[in-house]
Amino acid sequence: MLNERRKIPALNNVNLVPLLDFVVAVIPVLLLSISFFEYVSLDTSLPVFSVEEESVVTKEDNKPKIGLTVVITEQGFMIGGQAGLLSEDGNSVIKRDSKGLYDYSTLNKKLLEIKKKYPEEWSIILIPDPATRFEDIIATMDASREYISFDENGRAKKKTMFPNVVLGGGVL
Amino acid sequence: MKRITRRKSSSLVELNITALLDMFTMLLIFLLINYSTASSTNIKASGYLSFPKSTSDKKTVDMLSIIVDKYNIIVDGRLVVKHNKGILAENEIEDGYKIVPLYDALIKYSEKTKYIASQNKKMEAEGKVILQMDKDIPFSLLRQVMYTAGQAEYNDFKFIALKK
Repeated sequence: MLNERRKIPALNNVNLVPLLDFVVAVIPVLLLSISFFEYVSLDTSLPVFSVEEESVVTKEDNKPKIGLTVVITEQGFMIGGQAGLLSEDGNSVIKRDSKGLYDYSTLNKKLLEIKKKYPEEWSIILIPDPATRFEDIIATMDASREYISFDENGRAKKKTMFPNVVLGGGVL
Repeated sequence: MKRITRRKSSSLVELNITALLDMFTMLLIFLLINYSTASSTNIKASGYLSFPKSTSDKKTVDMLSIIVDKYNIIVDGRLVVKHNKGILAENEIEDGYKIVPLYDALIKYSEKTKYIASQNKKMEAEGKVILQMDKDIPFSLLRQVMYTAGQAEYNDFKFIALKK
């Protein structure tokens, strides 16, 4: 038998206009609903309010073992805790840098020293001054929560330090 | 004077839209990829609200939102109270910390959520809240907002920030 081969006619002038209509309709919808910025969240619990001499911590999970505390003042940071916990060089005060900005990298290094000394500690209490801006509180939380370590290949990797951040509310 | 001679077009010229369609298809794919990773819909920066930046990796979730922008405190899209650079009027504060209009709004929302949860067992009244705060808001106002939310049984907070 002879197979008759039919020639398939070339697809000339395919009507792309309906497809174009659809794409043009979808793009504005996507452009309106899309978010070009990525938002992230940071967990925290209620402020710690001390009533007279009684210390109250709202969540049992957040009960600090060594009471690591970072006070944010106008001058800079003060690291403290129970039994005179300080950074290894004995200096617990981190002043603002020459430009008047908070020195987050030094704070991060000092907290890392404490973390190495107390690896089972996961909580930290931040006590900001009432005038401290929200931006500075978030940056301090970032400096307390994790540090960046480099592996053998020189790749940067985030490692957890004090993930349970509790905001200190002051005295009632 | 020169005479302008008009030529009559013999037939309608067909536009080649293939290149345009190629571009649109690529744009559509790009937008669809970004759309899937877009964060929750009720977070939007505005002229009155600029978020701080953070190194956190935690994604946002949709829940009750308290917005504290440069001038207002908004709960669930409704204006509750105005503030002046983080300072509220004296008659709106109780016990030094509790913001009365905010407390009332949160209690109203909490009651509504509890009622829905009682009718629909799949839904839980969780007591979680996301705080969308302007980066320049002082801690004194943040403390008052958190204290008030705590009084209204909202004890779990999530701060919103822009990814660094």
